[in-house]
Amino acid sequence: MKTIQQNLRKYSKLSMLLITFATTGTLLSGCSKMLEVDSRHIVNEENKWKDINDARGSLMGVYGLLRSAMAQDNGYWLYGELRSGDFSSVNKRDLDVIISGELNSSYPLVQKLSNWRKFYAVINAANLFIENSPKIVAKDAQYTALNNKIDIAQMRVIKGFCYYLLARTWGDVPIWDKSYEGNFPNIKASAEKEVLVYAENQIKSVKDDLPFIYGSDTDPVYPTLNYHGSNRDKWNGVLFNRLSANTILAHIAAWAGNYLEASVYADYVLTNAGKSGASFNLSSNITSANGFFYNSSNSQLVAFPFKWSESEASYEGHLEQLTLASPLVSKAIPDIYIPRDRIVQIFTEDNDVRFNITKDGSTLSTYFSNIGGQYPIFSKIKVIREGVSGADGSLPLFSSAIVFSRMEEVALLRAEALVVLGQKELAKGLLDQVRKSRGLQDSPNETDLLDAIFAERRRELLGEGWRWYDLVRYKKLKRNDTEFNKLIDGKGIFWPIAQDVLNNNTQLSQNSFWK
Amino acid sequence: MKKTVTYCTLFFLLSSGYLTDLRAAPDLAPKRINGYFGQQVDTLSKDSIIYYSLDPTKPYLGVDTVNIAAVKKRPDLTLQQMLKGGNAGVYVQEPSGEPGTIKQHVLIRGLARPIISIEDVNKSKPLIVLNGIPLIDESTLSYAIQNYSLQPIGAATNINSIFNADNIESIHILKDYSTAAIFGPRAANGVIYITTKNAKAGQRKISVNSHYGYATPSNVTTINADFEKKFRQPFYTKYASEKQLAAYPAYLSDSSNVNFYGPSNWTDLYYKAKPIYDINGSLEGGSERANFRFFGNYAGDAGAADETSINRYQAAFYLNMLPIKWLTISSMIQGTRLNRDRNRSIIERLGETAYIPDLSTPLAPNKDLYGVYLNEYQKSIDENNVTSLLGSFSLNFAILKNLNFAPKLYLDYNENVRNVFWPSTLMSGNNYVSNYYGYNERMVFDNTLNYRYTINNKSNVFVEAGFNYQSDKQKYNFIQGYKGPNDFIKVNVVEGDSQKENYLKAVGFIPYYYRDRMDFKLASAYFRGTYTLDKTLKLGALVRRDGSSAVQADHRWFTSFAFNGEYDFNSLLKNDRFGGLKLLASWGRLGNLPTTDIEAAGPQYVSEVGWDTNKTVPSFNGIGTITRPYRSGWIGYELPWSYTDMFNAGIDLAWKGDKVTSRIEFYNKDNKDVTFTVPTVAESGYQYEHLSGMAINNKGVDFTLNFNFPAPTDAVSWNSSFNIAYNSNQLKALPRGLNEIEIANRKLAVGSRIDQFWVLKNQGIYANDIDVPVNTDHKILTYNGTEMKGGDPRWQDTNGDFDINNKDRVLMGNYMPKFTGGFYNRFGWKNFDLSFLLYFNLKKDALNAQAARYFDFANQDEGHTLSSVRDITYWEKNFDESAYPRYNPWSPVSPYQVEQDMFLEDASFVKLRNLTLGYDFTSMVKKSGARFSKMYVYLSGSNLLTLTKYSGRDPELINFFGYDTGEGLRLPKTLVLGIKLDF
Repeated sequence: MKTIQQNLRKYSKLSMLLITFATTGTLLSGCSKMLEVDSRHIVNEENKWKDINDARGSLMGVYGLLRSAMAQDNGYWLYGELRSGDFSSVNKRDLDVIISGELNSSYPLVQKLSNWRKFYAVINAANLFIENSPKIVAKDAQYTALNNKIDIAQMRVIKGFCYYLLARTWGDVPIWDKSYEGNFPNIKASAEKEVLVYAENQIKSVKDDLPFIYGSDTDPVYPTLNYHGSNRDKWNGVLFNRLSANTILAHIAAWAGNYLEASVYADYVLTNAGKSGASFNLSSNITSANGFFYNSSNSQLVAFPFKWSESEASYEGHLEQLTLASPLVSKAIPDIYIPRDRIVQIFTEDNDVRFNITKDGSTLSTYFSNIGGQYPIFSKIKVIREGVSGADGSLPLFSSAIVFSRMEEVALLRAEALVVLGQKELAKGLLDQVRKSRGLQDSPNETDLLDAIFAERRRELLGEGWRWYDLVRYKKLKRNDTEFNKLIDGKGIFWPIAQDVLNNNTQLSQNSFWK
Repeated sequence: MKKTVTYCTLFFLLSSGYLTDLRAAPDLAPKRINGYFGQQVDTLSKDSIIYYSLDPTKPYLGVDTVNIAAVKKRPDLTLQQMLKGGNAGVYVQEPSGEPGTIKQHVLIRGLARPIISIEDVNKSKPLIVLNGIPLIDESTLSYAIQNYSLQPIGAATNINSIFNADNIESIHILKDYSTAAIFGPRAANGVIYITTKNAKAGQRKISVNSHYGYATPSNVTTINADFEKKFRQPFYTKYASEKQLAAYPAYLSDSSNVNFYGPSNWTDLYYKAKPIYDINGSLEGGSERANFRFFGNYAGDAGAADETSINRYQAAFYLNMLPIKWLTISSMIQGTRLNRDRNRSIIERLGETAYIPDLSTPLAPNKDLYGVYLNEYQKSIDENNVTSLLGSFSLNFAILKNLNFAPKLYLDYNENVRNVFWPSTLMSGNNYVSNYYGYNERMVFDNTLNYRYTINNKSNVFVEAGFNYQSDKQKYNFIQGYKGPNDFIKVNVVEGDSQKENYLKAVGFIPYYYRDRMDFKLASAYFRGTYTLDKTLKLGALVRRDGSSAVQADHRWFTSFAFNGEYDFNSLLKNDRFGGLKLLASWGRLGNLPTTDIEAAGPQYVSEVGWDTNKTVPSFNGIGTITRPYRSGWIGYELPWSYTDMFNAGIDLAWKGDKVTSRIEFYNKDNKDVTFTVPTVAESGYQYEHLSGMAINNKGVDFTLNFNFPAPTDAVSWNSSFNIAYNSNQLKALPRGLNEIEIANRKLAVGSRIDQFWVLKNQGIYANDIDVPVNTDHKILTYNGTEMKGGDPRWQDTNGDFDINNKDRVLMGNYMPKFTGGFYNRFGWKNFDLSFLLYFNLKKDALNAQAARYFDFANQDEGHTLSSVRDITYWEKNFDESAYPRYNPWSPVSPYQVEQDMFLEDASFVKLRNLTLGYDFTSMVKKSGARFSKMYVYLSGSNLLTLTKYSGRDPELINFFGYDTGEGLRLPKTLVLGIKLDF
């Protein structure tokens, strides 16, 4: 051993150092490789858009973001159901101000709801998919051009849907047609009308690319048993199909006041429902704990599931979190409820299966529980956990889908359009069809048909996020309420823009009504 | 790759050239002033075989040391506690008295970045080194799946509880880059270097040290529903509407309810004296050729509140060998087990379960009822265990007498396990189970080669080259289960039948699975040199190149450097008034390492389609999603290394034979190119963008004065050490040249401090509607558009636009103290000694969120968030109910929001941290012929006294964001009796 030292002594000190540094240098050049670490929890740009799995994950991501945008803070109902609606709140001043329309209030909840970022996240993700997914077709033979075309069509429908939601909530909003990826510009708001035109064009351009049923070999557009690896059982009611696109188009047109188009699109849905397997529902199915809102089905024309079987149930993002209380869940009183006297005003007719008072004075209802109590519980939707009826409610996880539209809704929308277009006979036929299924007689001829249609929407779609938007369309058609006309003309029907949003886009200014 | 090769070549050329320089070679470090008395810094003995010493390559660690002798008499379990008040420029935060909790934190020389999230705290921490092993930090990985980030899931134990003062030789604080630079980018925020006692040649030596004592219950004023009712009454009388009267809380409405209206004696069960103890022993011995040391320790710390405690079991073994004259082998292994009994607060429980039940009725303040509630805990499981294993194996080849090559291998591994079961009785009818298993692992491969050369016996040249490779792994698995079949099945049972579809899936509970993993690599090479002349002049330089996997590939490598010089005027000053005068200065730059791997990836995709209160949504329709990180923010390219430049200059002064010594140091520290999350255009879909370009300046002065009273006789002595540090920070630049950003209730403005509060200025109350001002356009003063009414606060309309909004908020206060320090004194008389330590934070502010919360009862009653949880400590009176105006608590303008100046308080304090009385029996026992070579007995009390103007519980119990939320447990007074024996 000693010889090592002796040998070393032979070298000059400097050369000793040189050897060492040479070694260090080699180590150093080798270590750049060592510093390449593939992250286990994120995917970088290089590793993305390579195969069909990326396409599927991204596609689901856009839907997932849209579901979150609708669900967070229970926004879907707070926007649609509360303002000037049928519900009252119990000890929740932040809900009170929404009900009374004081939307510039500074409660954190109201501030959060006035922020539209969540919808733009969906739009950005959809733009990104449209821009990048075609690359995969060349890289992965499993991902066919047709498959890509259908996926992109869905993305456009989602974009259109988001712009429709934005327009009906905030009115004038900026249009982002690209993802911009890191160089995010400040873009001016476009007028509500332009936004609706943009939304309509997005969907119109692709609606005929969409299948009626995903994962079915009988579908005329994309006959295959496995769409993205799964059959129709998995996809029914989950993805936007041809009917979804037309349903959304009908609503865009109706909101813009283009009732002719609204009628055409709605008619398409009603006529072609069979191709998707969509159907009208019995009231008992709608209100069952494991019925319409629990299952995903193509009868949910535009809907977002929170499937229990996939561990996607949540506390927030369901009407149940607002409306249910003891004994259904372990919460003493509900956040929102419909007072008894208002229930009686809404459901005036005999034999209505949703709610009626029998001859002996007792109530029959599939919509309400605890009617005799101080706070009647609106239990039309009550999918507690896996939807077992009578489940103990100590863990208030809910798995009900957010349903934007179903057959009854489209039928009533078409009826509304037909009345505006003067085709009262047809309209009454549609209305009576819905009424009949709920135990009611045909509507009497002497009533205002439009009033009757909106009254029916109010009853049938109670708690489904439509009340405020129905009211706006109704008042726009009637123009008989000066106070409301002021709201319509002064943009008071829209939400103010959140301060956080204004702070970061110098091109925006607050809606004049809320200034 | 090519670039790196070029670089390597460059480095090679550079290093083989003649770079002069460098910092002090170890054995050349002259004596300097210590943080306290009694510590010599000379790390190497003047042993004859100096070149064959155990650790010749141990770097020079400077002169800032902790007074270990004083620490040994305190029952401090964690490193942070040991450091409190001891050294200038070291700031310790202990916002909870819960023993062993992760909520402890130390900062050296100010804040490196604004604290917006808990991750920012981690990025500001100094590096902790034990015997050369750079210790791995707890990961922040799990925050990504937590809806509430009170603390990380898992055991949440402070990993810095693995040090025992009786086994520590020295703790150095490396504040500037003359000493810290050698530790590389992890050392940008400073280094705390712990040297344990090592094996020594000589006769078998046994030491036994022990203390036993109690954490004593705090004195608190309790309140009951009667107090609360009376407190609320005036608000109800004046402002309540019928609806609000109807919603009067049930627990307050029935004054015959003894549970709430009876005695508030829950404290009997909550605050209890708990034992704290420590017994440790060491055995050392061996020959010059091979020697060893064994250390064993069993210790327990307690919190005196909520039955909290922590136990530590530790064993360490050190072995040194000198098989041949030119080869030294030294090794250590230390194993520690930390078992923690955590608090039983509702807020932390719900923070984990992420499920908020009905909160309308708080726990009753009555002892019997609270006892029933606590009994339910008998059914629960709450195990929190951390196992730490540290090892090092070092070789030193003395190739020549003055040429050493030292390869070393270090390992730091810790495992974190938490098992939980909470019965349905505690969780409003729904039981909960969770299992967490996580580990952090660091392997370090370190090589140094150094060469020393002496010219004419006058000047020394020392050069060293080092190469270091570190590999980190952080990983966890977490299973949560809700709603099991009953309270007897307390574990998540999985299906064992492999034929079944749900094989290995949980049965019984509703399960959620999470896992995550992160890998880091860091490679470094450095070259340094020191030149010393006549022990008067010392010059040093260091250049290093660091490559990290956590930085983007285009910017992977970063060059850092440090230069320093010292000049000692001792030889020139023959004056007998001065004992010494020395000037020192250093200037350096160090890169800062990211703590996650997200920045390295650039534009990326994640599985993140949930929302703020439901973060963990991985799938849609059961299929994994992949999207851009819209919620956590866009990450682009062009995120280079951020770095810190620090300049340091100081003067050492000594008077008259070293009786008074002082050191004053000035520093200027710039953190540049800091990556920060900036709120971005909402229409991009992203909440933030991660952008580089933030710059923060910290400057300050550290001052230490030591006084050694000239003892007239040997029987009397007085040593005193005073330290004070001033620190001030300023935001110098924001990314993209922005002037200010608003983020999370804060505003960061260029030119202002980074730790300010952003508050409304309170100027009283509008008694009636008519008092609310109206401008000439008949516009009534509004708050964010809502008209103000009688009973609303009179807030200053700073910009005069008749709307109170964020533009009217002003930046005020600072949550980092401007002055920190301590004052230590030790008096000796014969065999007695008495010492005390005062510890202070001055010019520091806090928002009293606890008071705000009590006044904000209207929103708390309605709230359905974690912040409206009322724990049993709700029944403590910690605020002055007459100190704030009576606003209308139901007003929509949120009159009792925390962010207003009436809740901003001066949180300065001076504390009597410790008082110790000791008696040295050594001479007595020696006379009696006992075998002890030393016997010392002491009585020590800690946390004894606080002087403060702060109106809340304790100005230390303020979280990292400057808010006193009331979550932290009180810091208990402790009293221990201890003995130190050497055989």
